[in-house]
Amino acid sequence: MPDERGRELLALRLYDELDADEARELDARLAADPGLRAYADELDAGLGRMPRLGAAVAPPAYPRVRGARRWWPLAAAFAAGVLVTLAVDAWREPTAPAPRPDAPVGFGRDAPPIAAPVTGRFARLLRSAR
Amino acid sequence: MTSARERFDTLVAEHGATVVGVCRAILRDEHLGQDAAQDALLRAWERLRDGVGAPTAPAAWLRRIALTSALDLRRRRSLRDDDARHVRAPSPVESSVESPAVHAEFAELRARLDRALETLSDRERTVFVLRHDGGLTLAEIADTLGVATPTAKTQFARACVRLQAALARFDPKRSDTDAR
Repeated sequence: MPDERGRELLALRLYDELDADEARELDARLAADPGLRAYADELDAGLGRMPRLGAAVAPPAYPRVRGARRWWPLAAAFAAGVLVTLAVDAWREPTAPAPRPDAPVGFGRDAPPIAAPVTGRFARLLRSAR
Repeated sequence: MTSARERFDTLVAEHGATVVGVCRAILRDEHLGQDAAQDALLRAWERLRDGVGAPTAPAAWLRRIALTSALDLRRRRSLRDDDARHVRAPSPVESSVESPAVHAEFAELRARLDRALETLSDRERTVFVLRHDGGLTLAEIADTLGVATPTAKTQFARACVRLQAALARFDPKRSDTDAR
């Protein structure tokens, strides 16, 4: 199995969280470690590059899953759907809370609907590590 | 000079979505997230109204209140051993699944993901869900938690690696093969 630091850097790359130094470090590790390269290739090839969802995706945020099915095996697509479930859960109308006596207007049922940013990158975590 | 009410309304308008996102990410449930967000905004309102802790960095201040509210609710539900949070209505994706077999795989994978998240430390899980589900950057997460950004980044990366190891054993293809 590739070393943990290498896998951590690959995880950060999945979420576009590498800074310049870390990117260089990852490149050096990939150049030096065939196991890490194979692991990285598996991540990229098996699941593909997931399209990003912007923060302002309107609910329900499920077009990503339908899009994913064009690129990935069915199992990976459903895995991505599960991850959407983690992020958004059942997209139901929220039940209105009991009004609080001194609550100002503007929260509670008036709070804006939320579109959680669903990246779908979590599906990459399903790939077997070598 | 703006009143507490005006400042609160501005905070809600600018950061209300973030509050709900944080709460929902921590609680991994739409309804519970809304409950916690309600509580968080009420706490914020009360502090502004009472002139306690006027925020110099309102976004981070509100995120910290949201996180506290969500973690409090999570702890209370754990203490009550409330199984309701483990029972979820099927998502639209799940509902659209055509075959019972695939639906079963779907449900199993979701259960594995839930269990995998529970194997993380509290801090790792918090950092991970806030980054993955909560819409926060690692810098914002670090600020919310009162740690350095590199610390939050390391915790996030380690959470990813641990989750990957925990989930790698699940292979729907092998399950399909075994079933034939």
